[in-house]
Amino acid sequence: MTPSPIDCRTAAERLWEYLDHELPDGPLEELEVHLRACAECTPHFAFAARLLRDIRGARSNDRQTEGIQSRVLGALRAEGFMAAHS
Amino acid sequence: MSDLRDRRFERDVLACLPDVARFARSMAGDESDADDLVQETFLLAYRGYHTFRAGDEPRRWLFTICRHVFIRQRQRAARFSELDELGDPSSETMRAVYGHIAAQGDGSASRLDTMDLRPAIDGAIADLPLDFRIMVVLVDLEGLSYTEAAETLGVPVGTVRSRLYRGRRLLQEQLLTFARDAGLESATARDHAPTSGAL
Ligand SMILES: [Zn+2]
Repeated sequence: MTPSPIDCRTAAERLWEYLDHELPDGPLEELEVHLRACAECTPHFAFAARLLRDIRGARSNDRQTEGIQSRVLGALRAEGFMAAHS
Repeated sequence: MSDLRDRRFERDVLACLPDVARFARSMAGDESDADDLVQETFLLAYRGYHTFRAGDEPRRWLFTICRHVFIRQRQRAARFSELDELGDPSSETMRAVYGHIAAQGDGSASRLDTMDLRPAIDGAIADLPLDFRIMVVLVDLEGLSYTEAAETLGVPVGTVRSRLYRGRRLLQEQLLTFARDAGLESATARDHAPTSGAL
């Protein structure tokens, strides 16, 4: 069965769900058909995808956790925690 | 606690410390407040380990505890339970699209395409209002699904969508401003460059 055609407004409203892989199969298929045919919507999706990639990349800026790790272990040992050998 | 349970706690729960530290930092902002929050979270987790259900995801269980601790510490429960004037998820999404359309018009969208945004992104996330920042951190940085984020925070999935999309739209605006300012700077530099042959 071919998916029913959707307009640009409907396609745009699905932007984030699509990029988050949260769209159910039916709406996903409708959107993909629309994006293949619509030159106007495609740039919005490309732009948002790039933005998301950069936001997700912020995770690489992890802080050092050794200090807080030993502090937590100390507090847990005071509660009777036994296992940590580190 | 028995030795075996301690060992399990260490393996499953303590192993999530870097994730909890990051989450705490995103809420508390200040590093030493964040460290207090992390310590309190693990103490509560240890004392309440019996409430951990086999099959629970330790990281999400810890995020839930961490957020409770944070709310209690800051006595901000009222602020959290009050839902802000958010649009429904589709209208929040459309605002991001309209923002992009505007940026296509003034050239900042194409400038942003060629820019390195990393220097601006951490600050932009840190500047987000708390409710939106937490959503961006849980979904975009920690990789939780909408449903998982909703369960972690005890809010409806619709709220996750609205807050997440609002947070992303605010980030988009900040980064476009960053691109626009960078463009202005280079234009100004061009204007002030010595022009040979000028009178
Ligand atoms: Zn379209």
